[in-house]
Amino acid sequence: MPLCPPEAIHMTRKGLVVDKQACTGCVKCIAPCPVGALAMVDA
Amino acid sequence: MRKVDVLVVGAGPAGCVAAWEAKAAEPSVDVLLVERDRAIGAPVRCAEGVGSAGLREFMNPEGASWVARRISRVIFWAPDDTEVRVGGGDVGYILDRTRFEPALADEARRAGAEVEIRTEVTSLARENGGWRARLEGPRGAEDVLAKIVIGSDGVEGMVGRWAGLDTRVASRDMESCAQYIVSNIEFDPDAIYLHFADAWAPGGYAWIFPRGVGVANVGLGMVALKSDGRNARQYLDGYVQRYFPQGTVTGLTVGGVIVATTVKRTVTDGIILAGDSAHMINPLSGGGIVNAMKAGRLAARHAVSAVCAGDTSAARLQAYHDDWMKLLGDDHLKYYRIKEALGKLDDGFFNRLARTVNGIPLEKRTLGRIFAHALVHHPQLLPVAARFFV
Repeated sequence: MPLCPPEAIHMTRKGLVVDKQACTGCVKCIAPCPVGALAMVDA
Repeated sequence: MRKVDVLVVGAGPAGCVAAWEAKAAEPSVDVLLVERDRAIGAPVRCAEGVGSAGLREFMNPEGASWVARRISRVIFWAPDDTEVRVGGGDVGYILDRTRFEPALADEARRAGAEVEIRTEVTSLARENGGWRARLEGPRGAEDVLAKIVIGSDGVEGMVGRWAGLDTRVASRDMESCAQYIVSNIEFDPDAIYLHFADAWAPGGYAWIFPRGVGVANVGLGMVALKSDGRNARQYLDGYVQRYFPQGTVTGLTVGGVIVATTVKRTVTDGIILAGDSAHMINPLSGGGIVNAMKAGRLAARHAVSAVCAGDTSAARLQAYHDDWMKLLGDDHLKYYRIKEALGKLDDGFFNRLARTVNGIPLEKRTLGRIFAHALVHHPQLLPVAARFFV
């Protein structure tokens, strides 16, 4: 499976951006983050 | 609206070489190189090691300010810390990428390319047979119309996505990397160390790359799917504590390395992907700097040729993809199969292999001889060898 199946994450000059409309909450992005900076939170 | 012939997105090794080579190939072609970050070469997100032969195709390292250390040996550590020394001579270099990429960009600038930093491409749309790119930089937003766009925008590249190319990465093919600069430590400053052990770097390896006497990049890359729940930095903390408890940590670098094979399509109408954005990384070693430069050079030559011929169609640019596959892409397919096969062998196997290899006299210890010797003594490697030729 792709790291972010719906391609909801991208980098910008200002940092990581998650497209909340596209994110399906599959959490596949969380474990690969080298510093554990990603987490699921209640919207 | 500004018009350029070639827009290069991302001033890493692939982008800088692409801009440089494009102008060198045809000075009348307008080339614009844009970089999102505040400075070319920073932040550093890699271990900075390169092989000597590949580097010398582009830059002369003798006396260069961007060389941190010349490397003349490779030392492998087995999971049980058995040491295997290989090599001797002009093995490679540890770069200072905060200086190396600016040096490459300077070559592009001197060749006549325009270089703009702090300039981010935020969208791309097809227009009049070319691509309209929205640039956001210090002077605000601006649209640029390019006949061809070279996407050298790295692991997190967007050019490919916007152009409809599938650049997604499978979780198993993404290594999470963390690296400290550690000083006041003891090691051979003329060697790079590669440490294979599931306990320290599951699915990857740890490394020690010297920056000078007593100072090194100490890092690791691991596959998160094989982790025990810790992230890469937590694994690295354990590693440094175990091997360099007296060291002083002075810097942290983190990032992701794609250890897959080249994306199936690196081109479409008016678009060429080069470097990490097209997954042109050696899936065995995780090394991508020289690969990126070679891809940048190839991309530039095909882009200029297409612009001059007035045909930037995917059909014409397909020759770039084919040339890349002949140059390195097909090798990466083989390396990937080897990586998969090696991943099925356990730490005990590598411990035994290290002891076998140490039975070969040091002066005769070439990689080819090691492989042949290992095949004789460890038949488990036969499926690995077979995959190389499949």
